[in-house]
Amino acid sequence: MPPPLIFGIPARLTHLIVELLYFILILGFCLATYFKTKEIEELTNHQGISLFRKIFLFFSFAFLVRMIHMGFILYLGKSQLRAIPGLQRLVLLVVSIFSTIALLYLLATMLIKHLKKFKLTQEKIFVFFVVASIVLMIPTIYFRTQTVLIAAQLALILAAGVHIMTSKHKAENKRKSSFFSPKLLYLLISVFWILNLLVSQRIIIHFESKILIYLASISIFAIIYHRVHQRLEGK
Amino acid sequence: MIDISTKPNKRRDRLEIIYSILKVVQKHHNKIKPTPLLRYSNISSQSFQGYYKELLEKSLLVEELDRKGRKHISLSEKGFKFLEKYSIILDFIEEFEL
Repeated sequence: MPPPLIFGIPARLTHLIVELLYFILILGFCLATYFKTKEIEELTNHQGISLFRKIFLFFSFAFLVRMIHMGFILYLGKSQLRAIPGLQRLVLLVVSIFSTIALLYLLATMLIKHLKKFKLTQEKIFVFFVVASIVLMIPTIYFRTQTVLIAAQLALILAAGVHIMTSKHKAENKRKSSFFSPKLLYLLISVFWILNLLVSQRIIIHFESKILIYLASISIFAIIYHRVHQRLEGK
Repeated sequence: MIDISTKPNKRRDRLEIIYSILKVVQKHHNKIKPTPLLRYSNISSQSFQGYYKELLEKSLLVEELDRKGRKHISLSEKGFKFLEKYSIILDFIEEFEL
């Protein structure tokens, strides 16, 4: 039986090309945002800027490992991947740690005003986030599924959502320079990360749905990079 | 662009103080002694010591000795860059609610 085709190309190859293009674009925007803000962090040592930058650094790592994982799935197939001892657990472990740290940095960026009261150093914050992500990772590795990870990360997103809802009133007084408030963008990043996990778990399997999720994810990272670029170039 | 002088915001206190210290040095032709710098900076002596140490550690300020062995403070290249980019930095912090 011939392999299934998408746009006249074998489906597996099409998926691989899509994954690769998606990964390159996301990684490009994440790293561009991270390096574009390097100078202002070095000049100011501002805690908020430092937390903001780390969101993109850790999402870069998370998307890199996710790409490797997707590459393995598409190249070997999920059943063959499971046959390699320890590989599935290792991938889950790394994706789980990086993505949870990224989401925790995202949450910390949203809560920066409250966080400043505790006068925590960057090192302490990092250690706390690593410990928290390891704790969240244990059930993920034990049950060999991302379901627990997705549930834990959804809880973090819910916390972020509650924060946005409660701080909405205050935000209304601020200037409205653009359509998306930064906090809404942070929330969208995390929601689309979860959708990415669902795609990699093959819970979302329709090609068209996957493309829509990928396009939306790229757009969010692109909007953030565009705004960073605009601000730092003084436009 | 934000007008720095008329935009009071508690979150910017630390940056504002750093800006004002560096601005004092710049206004004095990039050469000032520590005591007048403390006086013109308009902050307590204790706070000044903390900021001064931080600015030297981060290489925004440099200490120089003249021929008579008297200490002078100047802006480093990084210090000039901070002054140049200050309003952009504030704009960025405002934009992303940091």
